[in-house]
Amino acid sequence: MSEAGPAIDPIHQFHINVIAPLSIGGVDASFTNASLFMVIILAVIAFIMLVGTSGEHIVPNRLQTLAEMSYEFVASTVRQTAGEAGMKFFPFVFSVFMFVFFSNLIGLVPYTFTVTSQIIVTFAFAAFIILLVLAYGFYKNGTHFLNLFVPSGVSPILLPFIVLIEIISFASRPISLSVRLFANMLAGHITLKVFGGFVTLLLGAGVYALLAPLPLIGIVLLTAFELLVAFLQAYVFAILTCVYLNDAIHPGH
Amino acid sequence: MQDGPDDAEELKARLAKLRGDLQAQRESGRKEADRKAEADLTDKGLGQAMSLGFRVLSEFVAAIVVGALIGWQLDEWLGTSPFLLILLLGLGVAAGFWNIYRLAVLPSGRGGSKES
Amino acid sequence: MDPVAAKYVGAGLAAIGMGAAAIGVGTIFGNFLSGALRNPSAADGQFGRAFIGAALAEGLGIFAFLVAIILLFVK
Repeated sequence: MSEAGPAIDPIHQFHINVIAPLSIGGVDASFTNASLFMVIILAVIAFIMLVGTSGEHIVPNRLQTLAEMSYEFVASTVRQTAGEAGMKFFPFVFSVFMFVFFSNLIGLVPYTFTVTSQIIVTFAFAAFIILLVLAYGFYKNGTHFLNLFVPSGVSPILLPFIVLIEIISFASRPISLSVRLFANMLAGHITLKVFGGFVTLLLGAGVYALLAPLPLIGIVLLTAFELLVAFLQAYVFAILTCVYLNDAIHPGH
Repeated sequence: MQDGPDDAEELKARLAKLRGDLQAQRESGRKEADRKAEADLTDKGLGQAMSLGFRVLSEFVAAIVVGALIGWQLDEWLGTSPFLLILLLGLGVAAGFWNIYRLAVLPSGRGGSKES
Repeated sequence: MDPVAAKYVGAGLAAIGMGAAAIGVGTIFGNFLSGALRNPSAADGQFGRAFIGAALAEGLGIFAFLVAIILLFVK
């Protein structure tokens, strides 16, 4: 699907190349550029949170405000969506939000690798969240958790259909959670690279080089839009995690 | 010409006028603040609306795809050719619209976001 | 017409669905804007619903895209 011409290959950015081959028990667990960028993301988050909260002076410096602001933002989302009982999951939701947000941000820097643009990474997140919801739901509510699939106030004739519909919508949650993040990141980065390809194409085409700045302006606008999408995807991921945890905490919605 | 009472009268009138002006000033100040707050709302509103849009889009598509997948898989196992696929596809569409209805009516989670 | 060519023609035709979805999204926001201009105070409340409508139209466009991808890549 990559366009002609060796220079322009928007798909190349998603190739995983092995840095340090390593196989544990036959499983190819080699250290790839994806894992390298995951380590970089964790380092950035750890740096911000640890240094940010170490200062403890009353007038917060920039880093401390960043740390406090992100904490406040996620805490208010969790409280508002999953209520006080949801705060038990706050550390998990906070780390998911920060990891997804910083991986999207770092992915926007040219020549970096976007971890969340791999379907397997986002699906791992979504599958873990849904398993957590199921485990906690059954642990806390036992079989009552199943009346999540039986909404109250439904005439018995319709019940089998409604239950089937609820099961389908519950089964579609991990898929919608992971494919949304994956598709937005993939599409955003492919568009950026394709516009980049336009610039190089136009520059190399003699008199048309005058048109080259147009796609460049396009890239600037697209990058701004990608920044908004990066934040929004992390926010939607976090708020949906809270909504699903809220379903686990009190199933009878 | 008694100056005293006229002065007092005139003073009272001026005081009343001053109080009226002050009231008007405070009123317009509050209206200004409301209008600005409303403007802020639309800025934040964009983020809120776009996140709602993303959720609706993926929930709609995922519900139908999952319905189709389940139907197709059951057909494979039970050999009931297209019937289950069509039935589950219809249910997937119903699940998609049911999710979106719940999403649009109750914006998010238990409390529902305050500002919308 | 040999099947491989038919597959590509089919994928191309399926991509027209994306264009139709774009028209749908365009009309939704167009009508929202004209309504908002007529009654600006009510615009904010309906801002979210305009995006819901746009997302639904886009969802149908994504199905056209899905058909095109399936045609191209599924053996």
